[in-house]
Amino acid sequence: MVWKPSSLLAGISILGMTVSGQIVARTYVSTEEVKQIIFPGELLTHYPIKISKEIAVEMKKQSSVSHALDPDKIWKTAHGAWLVIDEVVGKHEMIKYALGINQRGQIVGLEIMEYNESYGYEVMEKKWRGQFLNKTSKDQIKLNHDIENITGATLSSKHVTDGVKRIMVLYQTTLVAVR
Amino acid sequence: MKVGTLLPGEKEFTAEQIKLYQYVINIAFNEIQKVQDLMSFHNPCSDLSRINRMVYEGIKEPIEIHPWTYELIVKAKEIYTQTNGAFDCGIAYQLIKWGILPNIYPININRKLHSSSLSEVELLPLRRLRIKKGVCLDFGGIAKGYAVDRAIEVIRSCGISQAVVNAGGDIRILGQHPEKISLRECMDTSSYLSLGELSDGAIATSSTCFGRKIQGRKKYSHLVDPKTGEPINQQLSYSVIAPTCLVADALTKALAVDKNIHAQYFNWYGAQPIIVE
Repeated sequence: MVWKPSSLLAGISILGMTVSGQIVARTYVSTEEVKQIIFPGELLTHYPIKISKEIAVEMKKQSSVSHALDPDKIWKTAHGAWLVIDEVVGKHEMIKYALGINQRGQIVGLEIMEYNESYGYEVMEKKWRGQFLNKTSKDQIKLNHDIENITGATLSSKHVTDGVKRIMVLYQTTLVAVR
Repeated sequence: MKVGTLLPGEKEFTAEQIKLYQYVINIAFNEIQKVQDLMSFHNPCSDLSRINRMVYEGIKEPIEIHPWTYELIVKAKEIYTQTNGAFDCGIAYQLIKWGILPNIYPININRKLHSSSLSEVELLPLRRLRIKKGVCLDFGGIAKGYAVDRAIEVIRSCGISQAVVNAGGDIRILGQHPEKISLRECMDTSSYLSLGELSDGAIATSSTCFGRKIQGRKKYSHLVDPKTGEPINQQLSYSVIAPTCLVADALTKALAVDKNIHAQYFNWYGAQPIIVE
């Protein structure tokens, strides 16, 4: 934001400085809040991991998501449940979301944390997100297969679906083996 | 809500560009309409009406609201906190009492309602909302700014780099090309005061000049001091320049109440207050 006040404003109460502002991301849910939403009352321990090249390639192959997953945003409960926070591109902006997986490998929660696009906000709708519940890494988790599309939100819904898929690949190849 | 002209820039357009710009203008208008559908006090199906009816019908259970409404209230509560209550959406009771808003619930307008405040609105996860005590909200002080922001976002997402959206004086400029901004004078509406030039930012103005009701000796407008419930009466014009129109819109109300151009919250939001006599 750049404001150049006119010289005629002398004598009227103003603050005559130029300020550069910026658009703040529209955050709906913070990290702490999403932990409470998906695993209420549970203690989550930060559990960053190392993703090997082979696993990264496998994740990309099965999901077609090229943007790398941040291996630092992973948490574990005492019972062996997992919370992963990830980002995928919507249309132009990133969509930040969280996935909860219980000790039996089932998805127990998918929450959209940050959504900055002007369209496709329907991925935030509970009904659409509800399709992922109870799915495991054995499920296809693919748009227009076992996950329904949303008209007008095709890109966002595809990318979020693919993002969930790659997290499930990570779970199957890496997280499930952690004791 | 009235929306003014949308100007992508001054040059010759090809037929393709005209088609694109018409499409963009249409969806921007649709976006603004959607906000109005959700936030209007006059629309019985709006999220705002659903919230206000919770009090009238004694509903204690939380209700799920639209993500845009949730977003608006999150932001409104933040501004309420930052301005120490100088900005507060819980002023509808006063506006109903003064005949500025219709008494559609109907409520007993003689009740003393100093507890009606945004602080009584509790936001819960999964986009739900609960009312703690009797409150009647009006989003008139913030929804127009929000609508303008949404319109700009939609325009930006279409690849447009320069645009102006003007909703009855709430303006947001997209792009680095500076646009002239000016203030219509209260007493002489054909006269304008130049405020300078603005790029990539928003400006909103509130004043008691327009839409005033007179009851006996007192003059009422949509500007209320939320802490005292009293109307703001001085004939001053309160403008705020801010990075987003929602913030500009909301902060004009805080400026009208506190009349303090050095208030900390302007700095916090990267906003510039202007009071004009």
